[in-house]
Amino acid sequence: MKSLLVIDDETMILDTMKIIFEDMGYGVATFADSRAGVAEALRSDYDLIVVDIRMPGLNGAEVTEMVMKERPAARILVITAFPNDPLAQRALAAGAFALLRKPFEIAKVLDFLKG
Amino acid sequence: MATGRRDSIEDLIRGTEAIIKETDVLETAVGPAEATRERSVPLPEIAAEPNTAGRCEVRVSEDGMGALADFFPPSGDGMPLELEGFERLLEQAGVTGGLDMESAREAVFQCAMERIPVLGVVVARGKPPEDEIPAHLVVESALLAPPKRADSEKSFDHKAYSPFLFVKKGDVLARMIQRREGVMGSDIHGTSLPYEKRKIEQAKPGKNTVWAGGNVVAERDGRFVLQGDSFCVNEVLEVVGDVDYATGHVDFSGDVIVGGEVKRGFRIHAGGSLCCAKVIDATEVLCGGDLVAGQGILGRLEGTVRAGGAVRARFVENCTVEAGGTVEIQVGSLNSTIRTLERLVMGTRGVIVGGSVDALDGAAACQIGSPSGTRTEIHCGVDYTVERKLLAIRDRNQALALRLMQLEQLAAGGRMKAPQAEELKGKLKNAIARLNDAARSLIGLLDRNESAEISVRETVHPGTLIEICHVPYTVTSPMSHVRFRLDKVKGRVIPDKLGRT
Repeated sequence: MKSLLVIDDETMILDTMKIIFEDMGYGVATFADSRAGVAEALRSDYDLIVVDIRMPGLNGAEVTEMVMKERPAARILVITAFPNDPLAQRALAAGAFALLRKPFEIAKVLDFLKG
Repeated sequence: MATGRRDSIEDLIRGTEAIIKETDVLETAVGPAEATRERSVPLPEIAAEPNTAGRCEVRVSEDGMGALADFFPPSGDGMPLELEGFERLLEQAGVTGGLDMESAREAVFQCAMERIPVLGVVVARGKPPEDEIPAHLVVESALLAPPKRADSEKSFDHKAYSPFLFVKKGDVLARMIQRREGVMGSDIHGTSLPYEKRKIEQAKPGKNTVWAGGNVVAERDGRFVLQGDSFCVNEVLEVVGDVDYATGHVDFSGDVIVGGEVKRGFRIHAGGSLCCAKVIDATEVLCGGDLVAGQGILGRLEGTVRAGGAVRARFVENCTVEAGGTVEIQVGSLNSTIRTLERLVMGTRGVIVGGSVDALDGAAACQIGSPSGTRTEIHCGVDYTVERKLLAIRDRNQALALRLMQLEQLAAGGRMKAPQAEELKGKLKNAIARLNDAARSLIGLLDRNESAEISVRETVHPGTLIEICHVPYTVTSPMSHVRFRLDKVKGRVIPDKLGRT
């Protein structure tokens, strides 16, 4: 079973993604706290990590940098409302491989999980 | 516990003493003469019982369909009522039919023996007429039961749940009920009451059904469909796996059942209903009946789903969904356009985030919008098909008006002969007038449901626009447990606290 880790401070997004992807047979872990999310990303292997760019505590770029430093093979998608957001660009530079439009792009996540 | 009981007894004693003291004060104020006078009133003497005969009172109902009797015993040395006397009373009251003399006899006997009143005895009953019922077809009750519904909180299990009723060739769909003769009735005065011929809504057999042995049976395997008073069997196309390169586009006149997914880029056109067990990655999905997406509908901002009936899905994302019936989404409507001629009903935890909703009869959700202020619009009370027609008329009118202006410029510049220009102008003006007439007739159909409401079980976030019959309300701060309705007198949308049930 493929697995997905979602780190986002909006619990509604976390709940919705968890239900939808679990319905489709994926293992889903969610964290509203970015530091706890990073700890989980470093502790376990996930097929895909989805990170919101604007969060209290660690932002999405910092999360990407910390995870990629320890796990360079990790596949990270960054959620952003603005693709030109400097933080989003910083996350891409740190190794995130695509941006997702806020609040949802289930189809894209699904494509990356299947791909 | 014991202390508590002792306390309460002491309280009682204290309270009683206080009342006695108050009474003493009151008695002193009233004076001893009053108290003495009250005590010296003599007791009334008990009158001797007179000698009266037993009697009976008969009451006849207004519709003449029943008579009740109250029997009273004699007093003193009076004679008890006898049955013959009771019969005379009935005769005087005109009660001649439907007599229950057995009950009357028992009441007369009991009243005389036990010397007690016996009240409300039914002594006559009319016989209502029985309607004549013509021979008619009745759909089998098992086919009328609603299909099992998926639990809103659990995953969709296609094997355990089907919204469709399937029948096999030869299955009885409807039975012929024989004609029943009418029977005359009569009231308690002996008047005959005529029967009526009952009107029965006839079930009408449709395609893929056939008469056999007085019943209507399925002519082939398929899905049973009951619409209004007619029923039929729809052909079913079953795609075991995915709709993809192995199947190509699907275009079928009946129902379509997909066991897997509908892959991106593949079209489905179904004359009947569509049920897909997994994800519909919708490019273009059209169906005449209901649509069920077991796991959800993805639109990737371009996909369109249109259903003549209801739509049910776990989620809808970046997709345009239009339905003639109710749209039920369990988990979320995410950045999608939902249009329905009935209601949008979200599941227990269902959220509407981003996009817009046009629901004629209102919407209900757990949450609308998001804490980050995602713009979300909910329009209710409006028939979106009429709105679309009006927009098309507006666009066409603008195009015609532009053409008319160009024509006038050409004519003014002498680049077109006057008669020809006049003829064309006449045609254009006529077309514009006809479109304006059509628009006028549609306007009255636009705001069709002023009672439409939007209810939110948890939170509606800022960034949400609520509109009922084109009256807007912008949510500027988070609101919880709220119901939006149109106050027609004030012409405003009012948020009310939603009752927690």
